[in-house]
Amino acid sequence: MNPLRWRHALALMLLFGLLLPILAACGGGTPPATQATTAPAEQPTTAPATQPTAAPQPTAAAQPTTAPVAGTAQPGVLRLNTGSEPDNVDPQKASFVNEIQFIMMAYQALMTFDLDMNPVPGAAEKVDVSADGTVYTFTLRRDGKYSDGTPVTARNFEYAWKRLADPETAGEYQSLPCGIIKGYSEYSAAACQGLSMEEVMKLDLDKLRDEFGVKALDDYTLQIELVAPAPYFLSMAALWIGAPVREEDVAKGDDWWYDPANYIGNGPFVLKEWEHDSKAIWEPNPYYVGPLGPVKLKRVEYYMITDGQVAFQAYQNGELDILGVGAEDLATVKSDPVLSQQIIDVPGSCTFYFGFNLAKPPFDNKLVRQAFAQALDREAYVRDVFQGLGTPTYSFIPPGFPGYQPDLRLWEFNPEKAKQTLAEAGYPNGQGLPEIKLTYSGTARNNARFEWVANQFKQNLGIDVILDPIDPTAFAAATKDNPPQMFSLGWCADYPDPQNWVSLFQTNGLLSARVNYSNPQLDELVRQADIEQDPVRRAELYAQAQTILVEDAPVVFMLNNGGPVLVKPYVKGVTPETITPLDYWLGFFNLPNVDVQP
Amino acid sequence: MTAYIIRRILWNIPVLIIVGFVTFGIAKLTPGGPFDTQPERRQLSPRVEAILRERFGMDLPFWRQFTRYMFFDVVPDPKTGEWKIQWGAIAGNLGPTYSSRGARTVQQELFEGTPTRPSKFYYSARLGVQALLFAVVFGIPLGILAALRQNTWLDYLLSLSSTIFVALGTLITSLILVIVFAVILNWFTVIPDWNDPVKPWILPTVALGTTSMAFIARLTRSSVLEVKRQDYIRTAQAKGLAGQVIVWRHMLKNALLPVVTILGPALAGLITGTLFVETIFQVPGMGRTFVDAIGKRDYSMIMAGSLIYVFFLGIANLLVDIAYGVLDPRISYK
Repeated sequence: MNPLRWRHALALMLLFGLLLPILAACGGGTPPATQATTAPAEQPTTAPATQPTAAPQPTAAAQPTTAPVAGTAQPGVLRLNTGSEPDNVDPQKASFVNEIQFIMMAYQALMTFDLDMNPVPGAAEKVDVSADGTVYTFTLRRDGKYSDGTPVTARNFEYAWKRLADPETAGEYQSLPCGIIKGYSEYSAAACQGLSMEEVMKLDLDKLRDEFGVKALDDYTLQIELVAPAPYFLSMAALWIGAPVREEDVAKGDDWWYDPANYIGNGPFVLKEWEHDSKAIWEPNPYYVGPLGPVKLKRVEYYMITDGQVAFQAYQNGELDILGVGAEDLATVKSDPVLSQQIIDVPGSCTFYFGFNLAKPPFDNKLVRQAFAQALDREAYVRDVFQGLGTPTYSFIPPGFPGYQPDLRLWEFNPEKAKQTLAEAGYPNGQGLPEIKLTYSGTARNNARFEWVANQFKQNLGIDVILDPIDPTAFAAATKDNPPQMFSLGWCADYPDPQNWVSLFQTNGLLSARVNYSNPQLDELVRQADIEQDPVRRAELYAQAQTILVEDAPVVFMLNNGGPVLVKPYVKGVTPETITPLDYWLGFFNLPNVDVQP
Repeated sequence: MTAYIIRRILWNIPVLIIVGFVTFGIAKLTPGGPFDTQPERRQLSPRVEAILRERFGMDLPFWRQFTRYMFFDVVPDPKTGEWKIQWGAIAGNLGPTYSSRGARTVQQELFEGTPTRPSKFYYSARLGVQALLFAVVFGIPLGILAALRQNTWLDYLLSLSSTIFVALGTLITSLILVIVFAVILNWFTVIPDWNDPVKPWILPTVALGTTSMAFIARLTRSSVLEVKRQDYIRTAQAKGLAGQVIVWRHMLKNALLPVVTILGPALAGLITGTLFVETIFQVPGMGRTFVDAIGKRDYSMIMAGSLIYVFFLGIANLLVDIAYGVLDPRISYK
């Protein structure tokens, strides 16, 4: 062979050699090409006799016999975008909305919520509360089963609640039942008492675990003892934190939840497949019993499309059936004759506000805070800056949630009064005010929003507010221990009860600590309200407390989230009446109610 | 030659350690940590956060954290309390992912597939290799063609279009491809079905390869133009050699050297994944994971991103250097 030629060939081979081992080394399992063509809904052949048959289930003959064409709607199949892949869907450790949405599909807690967000028995058949309001006895459904057919017992729930409290678990929501369930604070000593791990290890954890106030009296009776009456406890018992994970599943390792084979729950849906970072496939749980069934859909597909523009194209191309509209696409949607007909407005569960650091001047002065609160035109803020995504608000609890006070509008936009209040505070026309800095999470979208806010203060109060955008993660850290002078923040509901909102502003509470706010009057009101057993009296106390909170203005409430969602006309059962504002609730759209009939 | 290769490979080790040190330092100095997320949601209580920090060794001095990540550390077993050696990145342990609270490791997350699905590394590497092949296979001939037909309409057209593709970048190119081929023409779906072995790969390969292709074409064109005016080409023409032989045997070998040079970094970059193409075409690869990790302060994943990139850069550059020796007999390695 010609040496030149040989060298040339060698060079080419080297170049290819450079590429090939990479492919060979990481090949792993090649995806089975046939998988996608299996029937879309594997109906269980041995459906339990208890499954309700009244639902209009399509008969076997009605099922499509040909393989589904990608990108077209099929009867009974709902395709949703959940955004990014959940990082951890372990019920006792998760905290992000997309994680909780996963858990709520697969598991059913002792209680669940009805459409008005009242707690109703879920995995429990009934609940008895002792006269003093401290002992809850849950009687479980005897036909309750996991999706693999094994029965759900009270011991599963005991295990789950103890796992939540276990200092080893260390989740965001570990602190939620602190001081509520008997023995919880003692056992979960790090989260509730602030002990270090070393101090915790010195405790007799086994004993504390046994003395913990959640006990299975027999297979179908679970007793939970509380420290004091807590009328909101039934709502807490409906949360994912008490989802009955099984010891044998958890034992498979820290990432037991990563494999759908271990993700066995008692909820209305079963996780059939999870193609990580692409999609998750859910099917109805044939063994599900509870108030959420019967599920009409045959299959739910969760896609993890992180880019809003791509998701919008997918919806327009008929590859998604429901899609939340982003601010960027809103104008396109509203001007489009077809798309504008597919909009429904859904409420949100968060309230966003500006927080003042009450430990730093000038915001230690209540009048300054009130002046700032009156200088912001929330209606214009939502309309012009948020393009109508959300609703302006003047109080803390969002509309739709128990405790919402529509008439509590103390600090409505009024530039005249704002100027006057600022003068009363000792700063006529803003003279004498120290430098004021507004710190926020510096995303491109936020930059435009806060320019607008700074302009409002300039126009209406004559104050130059310095904008201080910082990296989102750094911002989250900054709001924790030493809050900035003025910053943007929000709160989203864990459960529908005023206790989850107003009580967080009691002295050293979760939210008051972030603005250094303290008012003994509010403390006393929520202390009473938290244990008050008369619902009317209780609501009154919270209303008084919220009024004090708004009046004191440690924060300026700006808006509630929410906004338009696009729903294809063949999707039935997604209406404002059938969905709740709880954003983690069953795929957000209360999926058992939904059907797809193209 | 063998000694040279071994020496080069060994040289990569200090490079990896230095790059690791710098990345680790920058990541740790950046304010905020893996437990600072979503300020409007419930946060870890301070003591629980302290326990997690202790669990991940975040309360150790900086140098110790670094040596634990990079080399090894002696740590007590959480269950039995016995002391044992925990190996670091040099032994292939790339650390826990903070976003899963340590439930999964970085190597699991990147290199481990499921029975129905290959790993993230597979997706990124395959896409990168395909894109580079696409770029080379189309870029080099187009560049040669433009150079040989210099100042004709063909040259202008090729120059113009490659300038456009370089200027558009992968993000815009990707979006245009989705809108044209998926939404308007309906040849593809916007949401890919990765169970199909061919179809979902086509658009991302083209999107990722086009920018590189345009770049390679421009580079080939200018270096072919330079070589074309050399004396030895004129000699070859004077000898009466056929045009084809001159182009393929004499011109191309010299003209390709600059192109081969850029292939090294290009390959390393394409293999470790690219944010835009992976986002738009929903490729479950490493690029998105690395970029997300920066926002989440997922320190181990950030480290893995830069270490894996540098590792492939080292290997690719070595192969490029060896290819030099083959293409140009004047270059020899000892």
